[in-house]
Amino acid sequence: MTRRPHAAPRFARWVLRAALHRDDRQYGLADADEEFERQVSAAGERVARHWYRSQARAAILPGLARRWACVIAVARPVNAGFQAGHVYRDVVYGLRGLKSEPTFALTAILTLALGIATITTTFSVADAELWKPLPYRNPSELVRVVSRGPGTDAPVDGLSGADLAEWRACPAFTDLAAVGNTARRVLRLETPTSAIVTEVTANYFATLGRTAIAGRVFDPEDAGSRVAVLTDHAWRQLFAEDRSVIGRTVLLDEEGVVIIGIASGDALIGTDPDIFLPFDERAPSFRDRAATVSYGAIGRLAPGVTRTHAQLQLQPIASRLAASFPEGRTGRTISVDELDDYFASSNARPLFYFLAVAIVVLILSAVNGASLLLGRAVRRVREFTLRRALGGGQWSLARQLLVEGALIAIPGGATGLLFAYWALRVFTAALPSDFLLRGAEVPIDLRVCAAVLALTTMTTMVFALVPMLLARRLNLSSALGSGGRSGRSAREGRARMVLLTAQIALTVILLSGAAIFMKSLVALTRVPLGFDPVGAVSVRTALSGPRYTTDAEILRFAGDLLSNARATVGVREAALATNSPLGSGPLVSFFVAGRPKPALNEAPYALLRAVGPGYFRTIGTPLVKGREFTSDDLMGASRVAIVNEHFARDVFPGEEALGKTIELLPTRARWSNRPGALVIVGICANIKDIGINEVSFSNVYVPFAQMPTTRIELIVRTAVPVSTLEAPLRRLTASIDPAIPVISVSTFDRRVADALQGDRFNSLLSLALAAVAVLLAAIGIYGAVAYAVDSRTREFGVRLAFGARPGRLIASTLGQALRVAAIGGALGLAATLGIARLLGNALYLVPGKHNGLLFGVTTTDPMMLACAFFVVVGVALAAGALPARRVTRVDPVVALRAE
Amino acid sequence: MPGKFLAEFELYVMLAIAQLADGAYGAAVREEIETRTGRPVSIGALYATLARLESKGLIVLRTGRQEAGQRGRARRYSRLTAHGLDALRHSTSMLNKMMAGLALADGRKR
Repeated sequence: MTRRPHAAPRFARWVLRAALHRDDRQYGLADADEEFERQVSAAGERVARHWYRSQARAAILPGLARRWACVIAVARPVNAGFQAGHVYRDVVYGLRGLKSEPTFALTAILTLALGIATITTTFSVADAELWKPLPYRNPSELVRVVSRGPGTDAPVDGLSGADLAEWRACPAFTDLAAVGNTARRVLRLETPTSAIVTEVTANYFATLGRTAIAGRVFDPEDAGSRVAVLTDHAWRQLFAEDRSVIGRTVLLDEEGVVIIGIASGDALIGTDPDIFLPFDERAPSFRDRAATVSYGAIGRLAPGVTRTHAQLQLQPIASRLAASFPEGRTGRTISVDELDDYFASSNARPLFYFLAVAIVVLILSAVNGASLLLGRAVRRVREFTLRRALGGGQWSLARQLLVEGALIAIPGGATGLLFAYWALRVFTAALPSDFLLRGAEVPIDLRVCAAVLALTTMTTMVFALVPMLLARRLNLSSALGSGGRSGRSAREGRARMVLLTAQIALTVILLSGAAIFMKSLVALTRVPLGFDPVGAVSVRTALSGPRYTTDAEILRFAGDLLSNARATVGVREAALATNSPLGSGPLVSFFVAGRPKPALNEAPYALLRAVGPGYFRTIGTPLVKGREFTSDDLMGASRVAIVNEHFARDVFPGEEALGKTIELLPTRARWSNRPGALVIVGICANIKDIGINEVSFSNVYVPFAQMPTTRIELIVRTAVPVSTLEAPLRRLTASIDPAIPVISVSTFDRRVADALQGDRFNSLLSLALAAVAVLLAAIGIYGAVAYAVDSRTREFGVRLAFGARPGRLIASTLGQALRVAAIGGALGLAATLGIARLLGNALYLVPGKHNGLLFGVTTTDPMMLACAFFVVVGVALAAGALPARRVTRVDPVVALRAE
Repeated sequence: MPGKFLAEFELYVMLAIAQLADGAYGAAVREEIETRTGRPVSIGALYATLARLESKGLIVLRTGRQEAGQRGRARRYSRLTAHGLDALRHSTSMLNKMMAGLALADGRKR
């Protein structure tokens, strides 16, 4: 390292530079350099550098005070009594005060920071997910319009292009757009890639006000033409953000389409496809009244029209259409929902829970802060009374207290925001991918920050001023003349104990909640799945294009795929399916042959899977009765089915299901729409169909050969590590048809882990929030006991001097902490039980839903509640024991002289 | 009211400026006070005080010409205004009046 001889210390020079006012900077630095050189020649470089550093240090406070003075100068007309010099003095004084009580300063700042961080983080996520309006023009006008049968859970009716045209005549809407089903098609890039494609009416983008980031979106003339709009994520993933892609013709199942633009705003309303195509709105298939082009429509309300109005205006049109429907659709009702609500509701419950918890944590931190400041205030009553007695103005006292409050509030707030920033980064990284609909980009909510900061600053200020009021009330002679005893009133002590008790109670509630979430998660990991995920791999592919339109073509491909898979080294067993456990599937309505045929929307339904021979053996689902499908269950042979135990018990209670005949009703999805009679030849175990925390569904399995589909899932069971098998599995389709890509290769272990991600996240987050609460409670107890010990120093000194054993003194100090913890804990338990009673079953799964928050644990689980209680009481005692130990170190002589 | 009386350090600075006459630039003022009182003077505090005195109209600051041997350093010289001179007289005379007849112990140890 070479340094110029006699150079002033760089950092110190920088500090000095920053501290000096802009007008003085040049001269001040010149002076410093001049003196520095003089000192170098007179006393040597070491002394000179030391001098320079001390100069820099000494310049900081005057520098800050002068900047502050600029602000004050503006405010001076408002308040003539506020002087820069005074504030500077107050700041110095306040800092000195905090420095002499570092524990108080740190705990107060940390308390504030934790509260602010918790609420800001949680609120930012909740806001992004629940309340932030869609980033489209006038989002409140956007609605989703559906028609459905009677009953709240009735499925949404399919909407035909003809009906949509009639709906569009309704003046309540300026625009109505249809979004078709998604389909997988092969996009011919360098390698064939499977892309998710959705057909939309040409006014889709105009209705939403969704714009293009590059190129353009559809306009009315595009209907039916060979053009496509990419979504942002597809453009990034499939085209590597290449802008020249606009105007390029790409092959989609051997059909050329021209990419005209890239749409903005990803996945804000449901899942976006990769590619949008325009419906051909003149095509007979679109206009056919019996055909379904979409389920419901997206609309924009005309200005000034409410949703109720729109519903009332559209209802007669829809009723007329329903009456003329060939099958006779009766009792159809139109509902008009906010588009935002419709797509944002799925995570509302856990988010509201976490929001409530975060608010409790904020309250805890406020209580803590209040109790800390109160304690400090009482300690200083004497000081303030004295100051007033010596002629200190009320205003100067108030100003100093305000400055001291700010000295806590500002670093507390800043630390809190820093914590929130980190927490959000961790939070979004830990989030399950599908937990937040609006993507994982959660900005810190600045409005919340501002509101919380203002609130905390205000509270801090208010509590900072309490001692002033106390000082005013207190009789001068009693405060000064009480033989040197601190002015600690019994009332103040009681107030503090009440605050602490409440805090402990709230903490117990939060920790109980977290414990119950944890137990629920553990219960979920142990729940029988109905299949064996270990060593099972799913390979998904989808056929599309003109070469796979007939059953025979699909079956030939599927057969080749299966034999290729079986020939792969390491594959022990393989079977075909349309979908598999935890992968959902289409619902099909049915009725039992020989029983009266119910109306379509009243028939029982079951989850349908078409599976090939050996499927149950491969997936590890036991067959309870009957037989598996064999290679003889072919197209043309008598149609058969296997049902699960739930189906058998539900549909044939007390009867033998085997050998019975059920008849499938027409369905929405094309492949499953093969109505007809099936004979039940087997009964298999129940499996987890969609999520781990679910009520069993009725399942109907049919032979793949009798209901083939272009969406193929190959299930493979291996004896070798899956990673070694991934590459050969990915190549499986290439040898059969190079144009057909493998969409994904994933293990069932992974699928199970993914299915638990939400629960894992819930329990981790509630645990984290509870941990913050416990920490706050510990700080509170610590502060209270430390304060009690401090203010009784004299008493302890006297008692020690008279031979009291230190152990007894500790016990008496801790006894109070224990009493507060025990009473607070008991109250917390009672409150938890009360809340549990109030919530009832709200947190549990109800049949047909998948959003149960808890599983396999009651909200009053005694073990978990006891855990919460003892953890909180234990932590409280430990926190109290730290300062209580100080009692033994009291030197009677010093203690008696102390005041 | 602030402004009528000079604070202690303000008084020192004004006296140093008066002592230095035309040579009262920052480093000189600092040295003057340090050598006379033995009390270290912080550059930051000095400049804050100079700015305050200027804003009260007690001194004027002017940028000095570059002189040989200064290695191009900028200097800003302070000079008492008439008002400043009045204030200084007022303060010192009051100090003298207050001290008249007092035999103070030697305070150097404090």
